[in-house]
Amino acid sequence: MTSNQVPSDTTTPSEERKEDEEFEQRHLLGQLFAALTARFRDEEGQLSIGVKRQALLEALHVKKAGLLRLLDILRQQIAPLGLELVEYRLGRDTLYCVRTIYGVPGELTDPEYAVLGVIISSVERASKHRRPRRIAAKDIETILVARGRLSRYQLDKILRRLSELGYITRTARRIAYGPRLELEFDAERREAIANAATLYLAGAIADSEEDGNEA
Amino acid sequence: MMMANDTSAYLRAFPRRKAWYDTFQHNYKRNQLTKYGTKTVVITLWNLTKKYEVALKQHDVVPVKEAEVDREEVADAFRVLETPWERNLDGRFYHTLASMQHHRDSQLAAPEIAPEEWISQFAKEVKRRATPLLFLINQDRTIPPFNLPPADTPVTMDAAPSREDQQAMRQHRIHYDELSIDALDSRRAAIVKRLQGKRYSYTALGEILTNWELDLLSQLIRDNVLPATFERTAIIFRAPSSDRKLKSALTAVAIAAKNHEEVPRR
Repeated sequence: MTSNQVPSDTTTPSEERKEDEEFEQRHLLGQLFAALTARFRDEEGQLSIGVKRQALLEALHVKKAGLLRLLDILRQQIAPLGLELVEYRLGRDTLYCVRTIYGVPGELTDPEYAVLGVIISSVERASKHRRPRRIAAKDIETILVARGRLSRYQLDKILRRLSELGYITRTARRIAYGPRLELEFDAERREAIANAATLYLAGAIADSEEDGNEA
Repeated sequence: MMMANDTSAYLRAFPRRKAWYDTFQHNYKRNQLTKYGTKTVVITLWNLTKKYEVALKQHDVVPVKEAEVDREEVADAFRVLETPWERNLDGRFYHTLASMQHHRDSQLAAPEIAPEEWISQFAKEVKRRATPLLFLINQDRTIPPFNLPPADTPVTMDAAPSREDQQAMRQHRIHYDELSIDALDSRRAAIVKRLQGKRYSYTALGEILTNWELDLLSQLIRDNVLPATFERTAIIFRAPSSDRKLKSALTAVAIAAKNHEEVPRR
């Protein structure tokens, strides 16, 4: 009477190992997705846009080739959800983040989007070939504050929030594109926004005072 | 036109310029105007230029009709202007006039839209072109969550010191007055004599020296009385060299003493 007969429903050792590997991989993918969509602030208090490759390598305990393979699998798996994996370089670092392909409600309010639009259109119009793409903060102030659309305090608050969220980088006098702005609005979209903004910013509609005088 | 020749608005805006302006008029009268007889033209040109410059600075809009009247008034001025200064003034006037035109165009864009409306409409244009980044774990903390230890990892903590430990610590603590300085000095000399020029491993040091002798040793190394070179598992004690200044040791090594001994008291 043989006691160690293998029942038919158990798996062979090789299949077991394969299952373990798959489980391990799924676990890693979950961790990777969580890391890429996590929201945290860096040492300077600004929102971190994406995660550095080095940080991912250290956190997941994988080699570079393994990480790239994992990222490829993740890219395939999140595509049906309308998400895409974006890789970009900032200085010497390579960063990864997850972006939506179709529009979703962003986290900015209307005035913040409007200020962002003014910044985009001004920068696109001002300097096509100069880098970094930037504009004097005074110009933005002229368009928004001097024409009574926002108060100076509101504008300052909005600009601070935009820079905290990584859309713009501010110096004392200038405003430049942050990494998040270039990720969320690619060159074509920025061009389109600049074209649409001409309706709102330039004198497309006839001078009303002149009409009043003639009548 | 009365408005054009009135400089009071300008002088009200820039009170400090009044003295300068008076000087200019005086000098110009004396040197140029009597000579060429273009006084009226130049003064008008000056006043109009200042009118537009002040308006631009204050973001005021001069209506098109008024601007047109002003332009016609000095349209033929170039026929009588002769000196470079006058011609520059003429150019400056047209420059401000053009700037005012630009300013007016932008100022009066979409006059029927209220500011809030303008903002919401413009925001819509921007919003529909965005492809936002995705953040799911919505915590604004400084340390990235993937650098934190997982929740199920046991965290080792030192147990709270027992009462015996605390008493022992209290006994061991000595006031400076109670120390016998001579005993410490003699022990220091003994340590230097014993260790100088030799190489000891860390474990050996822990065995041959007592707890407070190790304290003295670290002081000696720090003060360069007994300069030492740190290796991976051992320390080489060298003779103190007086001719050149040595940097004190920057390496720290923890050595646990096997033998415990009371500090010599007075």
